Amino acid sequence: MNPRLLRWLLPLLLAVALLAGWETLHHLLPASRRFLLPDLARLGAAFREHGAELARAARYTAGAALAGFGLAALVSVGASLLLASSGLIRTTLYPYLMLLQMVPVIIIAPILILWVGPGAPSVIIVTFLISFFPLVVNTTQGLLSVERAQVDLFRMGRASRLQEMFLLRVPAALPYFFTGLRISAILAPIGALTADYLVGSTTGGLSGLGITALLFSARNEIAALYATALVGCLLGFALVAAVSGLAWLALRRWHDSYTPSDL
Amino acid sequence: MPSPYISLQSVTKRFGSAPPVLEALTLEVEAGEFVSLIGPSGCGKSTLLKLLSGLTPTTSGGISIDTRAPGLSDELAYVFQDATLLPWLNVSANVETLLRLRRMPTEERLRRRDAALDLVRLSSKALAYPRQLSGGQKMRVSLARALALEPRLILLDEPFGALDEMTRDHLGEELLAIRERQRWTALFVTHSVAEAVFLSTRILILAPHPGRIAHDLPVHLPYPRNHKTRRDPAYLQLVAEVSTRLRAVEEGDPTPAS
Repeated sequence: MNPRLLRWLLPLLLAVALLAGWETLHHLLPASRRFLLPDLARLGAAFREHGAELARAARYTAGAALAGFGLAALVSVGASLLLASSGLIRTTLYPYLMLLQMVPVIIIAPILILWVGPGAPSVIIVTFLISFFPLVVNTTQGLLSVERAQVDLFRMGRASRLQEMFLLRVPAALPYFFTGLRISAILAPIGALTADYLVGSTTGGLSGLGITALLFSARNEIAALYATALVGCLLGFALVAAVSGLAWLALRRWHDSYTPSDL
Repeated sequence: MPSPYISLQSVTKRFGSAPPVLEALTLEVEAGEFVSLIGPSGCGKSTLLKLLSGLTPTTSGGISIDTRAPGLSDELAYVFQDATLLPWLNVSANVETLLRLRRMPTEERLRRRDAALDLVRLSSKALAYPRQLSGGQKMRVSLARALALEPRLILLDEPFGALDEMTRDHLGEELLAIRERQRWTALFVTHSVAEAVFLSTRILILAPHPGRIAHDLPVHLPYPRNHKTRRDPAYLQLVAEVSTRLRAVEEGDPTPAS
């Protein structure tokens, strides 16, 4: 069988099988419990009924996710350059960077509400906090993971520190940076959704998927909750796809992870 | 009396508190010589090249290249054991790397790049990326990068060590052909006696613990040398002699065997 066709067919077949399994499971449940796993028809109806609301919330959450994610990417590059420039800076700053990731969002949330109030700025800050760490860890690692002989080559060529950083370490770190970016691309929409749930604002009709989920949950609309989850996943997929596209553009010509035989 | 091109006076190198890698090594090399350094591992061959490159300082003793201290000289190129190409740059850009670090004017940089690619016969691969090249081609790019500096001295640290014998022989012949056109001095670290004899005007056999020169042998084979040289009885006899002496050194007896 044509391997190209197989590459499309297999994931498609799995999707159909999963949907069929879902539907079967729904009918296997005792009638009193079936509302926990709504059948596909009811899910479809939920999408039709709440489509406009979900689309608006998704746009808001996507915006917040992108803003937090973009900010994290930007700040992490600067922070990584700083961290990679000196071992002393690394040992001094690293514990505090970990702190950023370790403090639970649940605890930061009420503090953020007091400081900046509920709404978009808080949501973006939480998303930033969640997506920052994988980026800075991977990028710093990349800047430091340069072959010894290549560093020697630059030192013998009497490269300045700036030349060594930007002509050698930065390009060598690109694959690592994209690894961090991919992890953060998965975390950012989840982060924005959770943040909306915790520190979002309902005023002015500007709310994201988190608050939408909160409302559906309060109204016991299980099918709509599933629909919200699916929309959240789609946001994640879209961001990961965008990042993978960027990585492909930047690395395909030289990096071993894009060997011609793979295409 | 004019001073020799390269001069090492009683050079000792130790790393930390470990026993010295090189001890009281004295060596003079004239301009235009092709000197091979051969010896068991731990004899400090690579360290010697690093000292000459200026990358590492000596512990004691003096080094001068053309009467100047190492590391201050623009005339020196280094070829590593691995090709150490930058995988994100194509062949052209790799050859230009060191010229860019010097902020050389574009016109001059491109002229040197093209000349160097021409010397290693890789002009047709100028736009290829390193991963598209064979091991031998990568090493030729690495050579071109060194040659683009238009050096007067080339330090080569086992440059053909990772290649198969065929490729290795071919590259050796190419290196000599390039030397016919560009007169530089070479210090060449190798593990292959045949390669050392084929390429050099002079062979130094180093003994380990601590590293020192055990034998200093001239090679009186006429240039140009080519595949016929490898069947020359004088060549074969010299290979046998160097091998015997090297074995004696490896077995801890640095006195001449003959």
